[in-house]
Amino acid sequence: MTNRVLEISNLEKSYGDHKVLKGVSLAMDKGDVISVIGSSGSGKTTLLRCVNLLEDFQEGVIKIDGKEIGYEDVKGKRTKVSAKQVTKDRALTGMVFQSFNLFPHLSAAENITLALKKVQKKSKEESAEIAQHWLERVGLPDRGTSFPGQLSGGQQQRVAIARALAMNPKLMLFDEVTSALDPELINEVLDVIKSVAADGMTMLIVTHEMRFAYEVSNQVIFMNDGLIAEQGTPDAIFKNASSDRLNAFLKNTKF
Amino acid sequence: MGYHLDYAVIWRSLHDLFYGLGLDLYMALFSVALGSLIGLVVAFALVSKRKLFRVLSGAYVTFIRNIPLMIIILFIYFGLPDAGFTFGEIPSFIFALTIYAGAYIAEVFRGGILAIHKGVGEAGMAIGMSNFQIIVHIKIPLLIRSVMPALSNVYISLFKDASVAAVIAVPELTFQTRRINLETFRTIEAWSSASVLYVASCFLIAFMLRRVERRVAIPK
Ligand SMILES: Nc1ncnc2c1ncn2[C@@H]1O[C@H](COP(=O)(O)OP(=O)(O)O)[C@@H](O)[C@H]1O
Ligand SMILES: [Mg+2]
Repeated sequence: MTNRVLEISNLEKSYGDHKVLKGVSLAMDKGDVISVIGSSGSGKTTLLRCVNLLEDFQEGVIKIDGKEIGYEDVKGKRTKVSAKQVTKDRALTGMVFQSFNLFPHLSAAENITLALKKVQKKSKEESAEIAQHWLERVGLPDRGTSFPGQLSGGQQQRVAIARALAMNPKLMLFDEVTSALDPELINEVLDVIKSVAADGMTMLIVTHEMRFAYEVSNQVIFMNDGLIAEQGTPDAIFKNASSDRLNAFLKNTKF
Repeated sequence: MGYHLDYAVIWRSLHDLFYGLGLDLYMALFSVALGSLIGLVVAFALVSKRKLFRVLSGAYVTFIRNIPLMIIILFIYFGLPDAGFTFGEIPSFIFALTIYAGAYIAEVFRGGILAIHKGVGEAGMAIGMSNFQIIVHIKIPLLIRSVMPALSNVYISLFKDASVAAVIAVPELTFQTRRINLETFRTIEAWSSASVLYVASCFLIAFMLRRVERRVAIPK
């Protein structure tokens, strides 16, 4: 029994003629927290979107818990799995977006219960209990009846995190989840992510918050031009950066 | 100036006018309900990834929106019997107004679909919802809320368009008014009364639709 949760081999992805991921390989074991840093346009979002199957990709294999997702081999030919299977594979990962993306017509609790009821076919009562549990977990025990428009950005993002966690994913993906927030709201969201990490959730986190990345991760990846240019412990990346590119990038960021 | 207004003849025909108004409301309600369903389906076809859906729905909307309602009605009422389908006046008119309404309502819904933030659908995908579930549980509820104001205007227009049914002798308000006018020669009284009834009805409909709007509005 291995603990390998995510295994990406040689992932390549193009938009038209524009190659965005040029052969990315990455492995994560249960409980790993990996932060992804790198300049804008280096392919960080695209990497996460491929893992969540929000994007097709042309080459490479992504496995979750040892099973390939999104594609399969049919008589020696790489074939996309059915839409139904894509939906199932996608549910293995939870994704939190920069722009929160809550359902504006549903209350915070309903945002969480919708997929519990419709996808996991849980009862109304059980779904409500799970929603309340996760709302408490992200520090919003009494905001279940509030609508997204009535919540601050930080609170909305915490609901979005709760919504993803409630689906009980194997792996959580965070894409610059504090970039759209006012500075004073950033920490409440980062603290929630840290506490979820402390519970042993496997997480792949794209972030520009270098101190947070340093504190929360056991590995940090520096992406550059569609490739993983550096990978190492937070100390190796932030304190003993060797390559010029990484140094140049870090010089332009706040720690 | 020898014209004396005399509303007594109108008063005696009030029952006919209200009967006509009721018929307008009945036909409009039917057409608006069916037209909304058609409009919803056609709107999703208009923005579909599949070209065939886009072409067919686009042809329907463009075609219908560029033909006067009067022509559609005359075509259906007088044309379809030649092709072997015979309906009464009222079903014919409801049929015509529904087809007409569907095209206009589809355009309203299409705008609403395009205005839905892409991320909301992706968030649904990310938590494992199917395309169909996302449409039913997220996009349609969002859509209806955001297009309610525009939809209200279309609904009121369609109610007024029911008056076109007079050309195929459906005894609705405009038809009744013309008949009273011809029988009594009380032209001003007849048409002013009809106008008052139309205005009052439109106000009432607008009032009710605004209540619905407020009811479904997304809390802020
Ligand atoms: N939907 C798209 N269509 C075409 N090009 C895209 C699309 N999304 C991203 N790209 C391009 O892919 C590259 C990587 O983008 P992205 O993964 O968003 O980078 P990052 O998240 O690191 O800023 C950029 O050059 C971007 O312009
Ligand atoms: Mg990005």
